[in-house]
Amino acid sequence: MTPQRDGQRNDDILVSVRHVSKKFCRNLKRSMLYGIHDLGKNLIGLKRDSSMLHKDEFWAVDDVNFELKAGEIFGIVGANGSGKTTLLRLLSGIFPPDKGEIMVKGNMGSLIAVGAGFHPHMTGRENILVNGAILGMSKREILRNFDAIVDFAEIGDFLDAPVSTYSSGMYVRLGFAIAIHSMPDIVLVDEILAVGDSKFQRKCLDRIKAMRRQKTTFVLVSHNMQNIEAMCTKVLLMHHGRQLMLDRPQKVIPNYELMLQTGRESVVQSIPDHVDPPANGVELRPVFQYGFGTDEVEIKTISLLDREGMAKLDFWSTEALTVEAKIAAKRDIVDAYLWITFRYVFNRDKEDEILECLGTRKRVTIKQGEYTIRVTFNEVQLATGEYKMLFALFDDTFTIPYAPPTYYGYFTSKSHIPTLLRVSNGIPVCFAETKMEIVQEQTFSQVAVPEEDLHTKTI
Amino acid sequence: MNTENQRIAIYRPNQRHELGFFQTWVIMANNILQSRELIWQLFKRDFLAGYKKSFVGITWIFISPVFGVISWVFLQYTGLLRPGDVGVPYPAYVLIGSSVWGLFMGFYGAAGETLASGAGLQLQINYPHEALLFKQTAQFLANFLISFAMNIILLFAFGVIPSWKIVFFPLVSLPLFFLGSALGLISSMIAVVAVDARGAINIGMGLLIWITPIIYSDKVSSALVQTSIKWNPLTYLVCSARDIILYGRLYNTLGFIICSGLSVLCFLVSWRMFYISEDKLVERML
Repeated sequence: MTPQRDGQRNDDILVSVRHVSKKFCRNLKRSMLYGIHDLGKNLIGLKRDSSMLHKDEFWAVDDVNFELKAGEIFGIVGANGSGKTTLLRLLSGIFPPDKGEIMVKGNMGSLIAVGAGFHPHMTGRENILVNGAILGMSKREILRNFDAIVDFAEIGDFLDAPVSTYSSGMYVRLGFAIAIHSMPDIVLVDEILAVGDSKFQRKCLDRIKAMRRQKTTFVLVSHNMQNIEAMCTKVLLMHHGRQLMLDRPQKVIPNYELMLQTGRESVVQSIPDHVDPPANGVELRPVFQYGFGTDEVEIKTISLLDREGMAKLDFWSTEALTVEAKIAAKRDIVDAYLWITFRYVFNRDKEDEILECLGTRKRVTIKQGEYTIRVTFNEVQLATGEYKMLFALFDDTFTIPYAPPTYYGYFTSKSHIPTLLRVSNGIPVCFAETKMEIVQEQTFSQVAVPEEDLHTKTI
Repeated sequence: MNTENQRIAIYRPNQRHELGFFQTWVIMANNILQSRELIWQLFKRDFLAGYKKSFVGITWIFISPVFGVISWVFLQYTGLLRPGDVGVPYPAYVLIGSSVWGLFMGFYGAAGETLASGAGLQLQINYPHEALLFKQTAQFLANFLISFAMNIILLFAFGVIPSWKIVFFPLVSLPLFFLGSALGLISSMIAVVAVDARGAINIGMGLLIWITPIIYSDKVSSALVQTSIKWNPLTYLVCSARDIILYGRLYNTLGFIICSGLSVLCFLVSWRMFYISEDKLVERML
């Protein structure tokens, strides 16, 4: 599609997508029939009415809206078939929208498939010329950037070898190198970096950051949430063509992960940016309690400590976290089960049964008295978000709680590795490596704890 | 990044319909001019890449016409083709006539592959697809010119000295490009959505040779054939291009001028149709 000059618009906005929809037909023969119908209408000079769905058609992109400014890195995430690539094709003008309007200001560099137009029998050198021309570069521009392209692609001696002899990584490197040297204002990147090795990925991401500083705008489609979170300024979550969420990556990614694992479609409430400290300092407060318990143990306070033993409520996922509970046992407890789980909190006001992420189970034997129990998780391993913690002590049959199982809240985890959000129905997806220490407060002597629980142990 | 005078592209439904005929042609002509480098690179890629794996390489371009020539020499000397007086040796008449017919069909075929030749690429990157028409045509012409030159040499072997007016051949054959491309572009679009119709059209195009006086003289006795020849625009276009070589004149000056005008008109209409339709057709190439 040929871009049309349309005067000057808002100077800051480079890409504007307004109520854009695109439909496809899932039946090939019917798609051809609709094509004939459209073509016939064109023949007699009639416009197509593309705003309605016909039989077997579906919205591959459905009412998407966003705006991008110069220098933004915009991520698009979603499961397979959610409409990400179609949206990129709409942005690059490969497909016209069926509804809505897209405005793009500046040169578009499209990396929907790297090496578009590469001919396998032609050498890297020859393909640079072809691919550069396809990307809209003049021969002079291509030749001026030739050495830089070859350097960036690191194809060395393969420059004069047919690209069919290239590894897939080399192929991608060359394609990416050409694309970024075409001096685009906006670059669309569709999950192509996944092909390169980690060194090249790093190099590409560094280049993207450098270009961003020069106000180049990027649209990244990726399944690598680590890259999305590290790079993007905002992220669009798509599901069945619809725009589920548009927000900071730290808010969108947990939703996406949750959606992938649970299949739930509705967007859950946004994750808060921070947690207000409780009024009584940094202790966790009971936020939900199951009513049943023998009351033979009283749980007095629960705190979360960092590696230095300082109580706090916000942790990095890679940080050690110690759950410190002060309890009073009204009688001797033998072979009890200490049960700790962390539950992802999307909505403080609504109990959700499917968000248990991480947990541990320990055997505890203590005599009557007051104790401090510390259970240390070597790494929090929680995705970015807000959590509450279930702390419960069950009898040796793991059925009767000595105190009503109680959720304590709230604390936050921040993660560079967002894929760590794992949820399941009630049972923690992941049991963590933990170490337990039990201190009797009155005598400060170690009470009888099975030897195995005194050491780091995965249960 | 240049923030001043950046090109603004707007994409919305039926956008191309809103453009007038004249506007469309200006945009497309401009796109072609802007895409010169792209056309050249794609032409080089597709023309040369086919011979990359071959040991004799581009020599194949010459080998095929040579065998064509040999078969014509065989027909001449065995006397298989002697249908009457056409002013020049009959094989020479048919040789040049069919060569010109091949030129027309080549234009048609090349244009007919306009969308298909970019299949895959069109779904990856946005570029003016009309450039593919010229890439395809250039690719065809490169092959055609070799065999055409051989045929001219053969003409001398048949004892026919072409008129100096052969220099007008490119001009006289231009309407063949317009008509061939016009039909080819439509065929290219139909090929995307109606494979069967495309097949039927191709067969029909092939049959047109029988109502064009190329392998026979226009002095045939059948009234039906006479009428068909008379109303077939290709008679005037193909035969004029042939006759400018063989006899140094147009087949029928008035007929040629009218049909040339119609060809240009067809091309402009077809070109616009291609422009307003191809963006929706591309998505059906998924």
